[in-house]
Parts: sequence; structure tokens; C-alpha cells
Amino acid sequence: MASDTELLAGIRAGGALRRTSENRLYEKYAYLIDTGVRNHKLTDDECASAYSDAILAVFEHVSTGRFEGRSELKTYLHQLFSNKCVDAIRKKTTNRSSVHNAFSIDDSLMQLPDATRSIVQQLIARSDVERLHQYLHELGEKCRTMVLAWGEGFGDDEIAVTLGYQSAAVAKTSRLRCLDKLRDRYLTRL
Amino acid sequence: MNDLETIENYVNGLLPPAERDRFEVELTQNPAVAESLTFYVMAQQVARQQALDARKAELAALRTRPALPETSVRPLWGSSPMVRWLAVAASIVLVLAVGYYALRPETDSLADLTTTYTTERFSQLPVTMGGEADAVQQGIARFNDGQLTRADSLFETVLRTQPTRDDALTYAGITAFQLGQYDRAIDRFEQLGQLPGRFANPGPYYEALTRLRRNLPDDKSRAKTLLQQVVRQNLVGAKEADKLLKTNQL
Repeated sequence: MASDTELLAGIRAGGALRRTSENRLYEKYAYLIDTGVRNHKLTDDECASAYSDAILAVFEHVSTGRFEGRSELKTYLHQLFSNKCVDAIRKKTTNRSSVHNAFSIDDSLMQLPDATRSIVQQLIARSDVERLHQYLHELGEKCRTMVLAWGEGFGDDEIAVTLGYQSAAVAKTSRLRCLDKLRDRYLTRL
Repeated sequence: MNDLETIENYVNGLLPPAERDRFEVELTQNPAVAESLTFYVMAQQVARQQALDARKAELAALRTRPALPETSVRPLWGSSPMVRWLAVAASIVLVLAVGYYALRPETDSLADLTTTYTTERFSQLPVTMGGEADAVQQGIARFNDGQLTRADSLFETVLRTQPTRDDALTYAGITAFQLGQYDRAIDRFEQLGQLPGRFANPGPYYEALTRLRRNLPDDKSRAKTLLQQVVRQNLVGAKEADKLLKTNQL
């Protein structure tokens, strides 16, 4: 079994090695799900979902440098997983799923100037996020794959290779056309 | 000012200063621009969320065998004599069982063999060196990176325009298998098995393996027929099929 150091290096390396290392890391600590079932009285499915959320957060923190290695990876993951389990319990006991499905805009908004951010925040507060989710689901497979890849942070060059476009520029044009289609549907029916 | 490319350039800090200033003025005066910018920010987050959900599904597919729960261990020296004698008897039985296991004739169970053979055949897809980077090759790369949902989408896209393309059918079936979508995997392998003029067709063998994994009421008998066909016609997987048939569990 690969050591944590090897797995962290693999995730940071990016590309093909990143996915393989992520998958191995997921498998290495998947036993935490059983621990969660015993300790938090959650079902196996609920714990598996909490574990996936925690491990996805770890992937992101490792690749963006937010995880600096000051604590052991296992300790870090365990802490995130415990928090996710507590979230799941709270969600179950209070039946306030909307709180947990709340739209997280912090990262996107942080890159905007203050005045613009304020305008966008007010408009988001009045928006129907669920409807946007639904329209994105209904977008058509190729468009949806492209928009999801963009949302996940893939560049147009990677999207071009993955989806068989001739160049990054062609992929960008197609992606913006897909977004335009989504915008038309969303804004006209809002 | 309202086109998405301008908005994207603004969000990414790529607009020249003068154009950026004009955009920010327009933003305060034209509600349509503000709405479009808000849409862009939301769409990025919604897309990210859906991409994460898809990745979660891929990760969940990795968890085929949950780990056994830990058991608490209590020392025997604090137990009653009866318990200690029972422990000794249990140890003797264990030693005998281990001895029998070590000396038994070599007949692996059907489940073990099926797991071994699917792992051998379905874990990695062969990469063609120097081949044209078409959607199938991209799908193979995605599959080998563990991005099963993306690989699946690429293979299925190819099949929509080339429904009898054998490599796409093979890999679409394998990917569906790894995603736990056994019905679709069986469909794909069945179509592959029916392709005419294939010298080495893995369809029947792969379909048999998938049926053994799915294990619905008729699956074992159908798998047996397929495995017999594989052995009889010396198709791909003939040796493994012979071994599976010899387990006498079909």
C-alpha cells in the first residue's frame, strides 16, 4: 500500500497520477466509514457520503496547498470526516436540508471587486439555484459534460483533448455557446 | 458588454483597465449585465457541485468491499476454566481446518475466480502507442485515470455514431461493469458477442463474468451456457472459462 507521502505527491503532481492517487487515498481510509457508522449512529450510506465529501475536500486542500502537512494526513481527514458526520446528523435531526444545500459562493465572489460583489450577492439571494441545477441536468450530454469540466476547473485545452475538439479556442467557443443556451433558458423562465 | 466572453474575462481579471471600468459602470446601470454576471458566477458553482457529485459517484464505485468491523479483544486469563477449555478446543479445530485448507485439492470457489478474472480483465484498458487520439483513446486514458463517468460518456458517444465499433462496445461494457451498471454492461457485451466475423471475440466471456457478478436468478445458467460456448469455440477467455466450469458451482 502506498504511503501518505507518496499519495500526497501524486495528487500534487496532477494529470493522470492525480486521479490514481486520489482513488488510492479514498480506498486506503475507507474503513473510516465503518467507524463513523459505530460512533455517529448514521447509516452506511450516510457515512459513505460524508466520507466522500471529506475526501473530496482533502483532494482540493492538497492540490491547492491549503493542506500544508502540519498535521498527519489521517488526522486531517479524520477531523474533516467527523465534521461531515456531524453535519449529516444535524441535517437528519433538524430536517433542514436547505441549510446544508445552501449555495456556496464565497470562492467565486472573492475574486470580484467589493462593489460588484455586493450587486451579485443581492441578486444571488433572489435567485433560484435549484432551477439552475435542473436546467444544467437537462442541457444535453455533450454541453453538460463540457460545462461540468469547466466547473471542475479544467482549462479549455484539456476540454478540447477530452471531448475531441480541434483546439482550445474551438472548445471555448462551444463551451460559451452551451453557457449561453443555459443562460437563455434560466433567465427567460426565472 | 453582456456577452459571456466579456463577463468571463472580467471575472478572471483579463479585461484591460479601461474596458474593466466601462464594464463596472454598465453593471450598475444595466440590470441585464448584472443578471448575466450573477448567472455566470452561479453557473460556475452549480457546475462545480454537479462535477463533485459525479466524482463522488466514481469514488463510491471504488468501495465494492466494505472493511470488516473491528472486534473488541478480551484477555482469556480473566475468564472461567470452561471458557479457557473452549478456547483450547477452538484452537485445535482451527489448526485442523488450516491443515485441511493447506492440503486440500486445488479447487477455487466460483466467487473467488470470478473476482480474480474480472480484476485481471477489467482493471486497466490497453493504450495504443502512437495511435490517433480519438474519443475511444481519450476514454481509455480517462478510464485508466479512474475517471469512469467521463470514460463512460466518451465510449457511449462513439457508439451513438458507430454502434458496431467493437473496441467501443468492449470498453463501454467494461466501464459500465466498473460503475456497477451490470444490465448495461451485459447489453454491451451481448452486442459485442453478436458481431460477425470477429476472430477473437471477448463478448461471450465478458458477458458470462458480468452475469456471475450480477447473480440474478437466471444469470448462473446463462453464464454456464456462455462459458461452454467460449470453451467450445476457443474464444477469448477459454482457459479461464474452463476453470470456472470446473468449480461445479454453476
